[in-house]
Amino acid sequence: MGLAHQACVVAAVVGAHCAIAGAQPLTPSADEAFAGRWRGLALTKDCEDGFRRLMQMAQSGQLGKDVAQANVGIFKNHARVELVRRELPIAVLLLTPKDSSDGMPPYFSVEPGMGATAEDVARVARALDEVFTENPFRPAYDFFNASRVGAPIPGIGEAYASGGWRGVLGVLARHTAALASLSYTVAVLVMLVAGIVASVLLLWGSTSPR
Amino acid sequence: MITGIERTNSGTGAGAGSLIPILCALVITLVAFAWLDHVNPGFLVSEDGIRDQLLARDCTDLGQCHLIGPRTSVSEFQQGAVWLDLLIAIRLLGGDTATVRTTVFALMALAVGTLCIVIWRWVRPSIALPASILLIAALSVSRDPIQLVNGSISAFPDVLTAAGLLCYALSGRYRFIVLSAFALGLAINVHIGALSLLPPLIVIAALAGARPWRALFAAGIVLVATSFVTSRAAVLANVLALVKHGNLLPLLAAALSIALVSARFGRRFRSLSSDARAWITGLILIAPFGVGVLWLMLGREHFFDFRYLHPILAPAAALAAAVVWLPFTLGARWFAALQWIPAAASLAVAATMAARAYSGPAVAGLIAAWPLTEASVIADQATRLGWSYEDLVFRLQATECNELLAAMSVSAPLPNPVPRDGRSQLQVIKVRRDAIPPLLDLKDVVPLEGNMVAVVRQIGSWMRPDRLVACRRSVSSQGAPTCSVASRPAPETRRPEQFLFATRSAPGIHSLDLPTPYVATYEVPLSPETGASRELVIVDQTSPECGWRFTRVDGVHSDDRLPASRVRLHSATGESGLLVIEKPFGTTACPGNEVDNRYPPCVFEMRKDDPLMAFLAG
Repeated sequence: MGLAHQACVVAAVVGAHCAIAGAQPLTPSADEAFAGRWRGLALTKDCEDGFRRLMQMAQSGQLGKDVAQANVGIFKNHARVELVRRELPIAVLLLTPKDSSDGMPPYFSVEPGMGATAEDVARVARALDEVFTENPFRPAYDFFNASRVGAPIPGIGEAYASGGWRGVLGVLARHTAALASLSYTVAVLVMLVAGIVASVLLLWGSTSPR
Repeated sequence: MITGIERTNSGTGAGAGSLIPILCALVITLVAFAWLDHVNPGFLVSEDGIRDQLLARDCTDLGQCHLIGPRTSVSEFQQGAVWLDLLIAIRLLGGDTATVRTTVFALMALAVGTLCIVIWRWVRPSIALPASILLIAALSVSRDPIQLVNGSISAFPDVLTAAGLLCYALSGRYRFIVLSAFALGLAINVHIGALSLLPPLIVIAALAGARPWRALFAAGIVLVATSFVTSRAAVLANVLALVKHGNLLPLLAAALSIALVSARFGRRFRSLSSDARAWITGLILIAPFGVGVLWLMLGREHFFDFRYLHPILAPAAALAAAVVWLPFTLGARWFAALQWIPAAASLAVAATMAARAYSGPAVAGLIAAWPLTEASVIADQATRLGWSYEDLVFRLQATECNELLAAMSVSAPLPNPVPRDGRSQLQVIKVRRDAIPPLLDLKDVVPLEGNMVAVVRQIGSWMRPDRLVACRRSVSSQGAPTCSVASRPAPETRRPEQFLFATRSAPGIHSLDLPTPYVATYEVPLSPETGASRELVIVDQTSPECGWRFTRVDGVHSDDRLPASRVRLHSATGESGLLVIEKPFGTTACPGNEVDNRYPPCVFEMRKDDPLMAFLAG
């Protein structure tokens, strides 16, 4: 899981899909179809905490006593959840952006896939309603999806503890890609103006040594 | 090789003589500004320009500042954010798009003045004028400035970079290599094409300094720091793209090799005459660009455009002027004034061109049908009428409706989370102030600049754009058409915390791709009023045969012969109907290379006896 997590850290920043844990990817054509259907939306790195909570709920039996674990694959603008059950085959559910504001959960359409029943849909929907307090779908413009000013990004120590050096790299990438505040930009502007004025004065005032 | 015919001002250059080049450069700067302002009238509204304005608003209005610019035409590589920084600075100081335009021309003119004074003082005064005039001519060709996109100001940091490298090559003073590295850090993050100046920076840093590794280290630190501070997200994106394609290590190895080879030849270079070093520097500044262009066109099958020449415009202008000047130096051995013949000739040509340009008819620029200033006025009026920008998608009836919609996004307020329903649509038509129809409600009239006004009014539309279906039918194959519901922006894109440049600047509403030739259609459901008539006109016709035309009306009565660009509908029962609009793309009869912008054609809708009818009669 560590490697998958680290790949996710960087990949999500650039808008690529990634797996939090072990879920099988969709076929490329299906992935493209979904990407085309909700072109303007993406699941960003910020959704990862919610899906981790969903996985913890599965491990602690809150998704049903027969469910031992949940694997989650996060793609550009949809997610695939596998409920690993103790005695039954895996149930696959597809999470896509919601087309209407009716029903629960508020942000996802949950569609049953292979081996999933209406009961599976209902309990995953309940869990999603609980773990996602805000819409995880963001406008999908690759690097423009980066963490917004004020969004929590794990510290270096936390990143190292959870994912080693790869985790640190991932967090550094998130810090690098994150949006900046207006005060930062104003400081940069002051620096640029000073540098440009100095450059122009240097060139206009310079003379050849010959 | 050139021998010294004249001496440049040397040493401290104190006295009246040192003021002459400054005065000359100032005059050239002012002339360049006036000329560029004259040959670039108005704005050309482009998706790129609008996107950049919205990204700047994210920063100034919402405090969310992007450290990355838009995606480049080379996949996965991104522009930097320095152009956005300029837009942000102007917005913070209370400027508008007109201020941006003035600033762009001022920076371009300053680039010309800088080239003039550097060539004057470091190469030859007699080359400075022709080189400056050539650079003005080259900058006049670009269409970027009137689009207000990042390439608009590329010339400025490019010239600073090249000028700094020339000064370093001729003097070996570290301050110039630091200046060049700083300017290149800006230039790359204004437009990534300036990367072609990176090899010259490495080569000249290694060639011209007595301690090449120290110069390289200083330049590298300044370049990376400038790039990172201004555009760290773009740096990350581009490094990740290089890593993904396996290009990072080969490029680093190539840079190291270039530095090693250059350092080896440094002593020999420094022993050359300053004229020889100036020629070599000019060639070094240009050569990598040619290699880059070849790689781009042959390796990536990328198109080429004049706008990509910006990194070499200044060195090419200086070299071209020097080549023209060279023969005259032979005669100048006996008569020194001969060397000024190219300068006099270039001045005469420039004066003639200017006389023609200023005395002739106004320059026919690529003027937008809806300049940003007018679109801003209309956006304000739409807001007063209760329209959110996102609700206007498909619901704006005007000439060049797609362009007006995009232009309005620059000044439209943040999205309203609650979509607007109902059959109301917004109509906008521009008329002369003295031609306002007498029956028109004057509260619908909004003054624009000059003698123009816009009629901005709402109409209960018969069309149901929320149920539009877009189709494309291949002409060469007999297969069924591919169709898509032309969906409005998803609810999630109505988040009132971002200006959503992508959906605003390019409100494309389907993703049907089909190679030409094909026929594009829009099926528009109709919901008529009982016992009423309505006239629908497709505006923006490119040609009668190849433009958009109504081809079918179902469920609603019409006496018109179809296809037509104007149709009169009458509904006795109020039953729903369907209107089909279509246009061929790339067929034998319509072979033009028109862009299918994936947005429905602009249809204007009028009631019987509408006072605006006369304005659309043509």
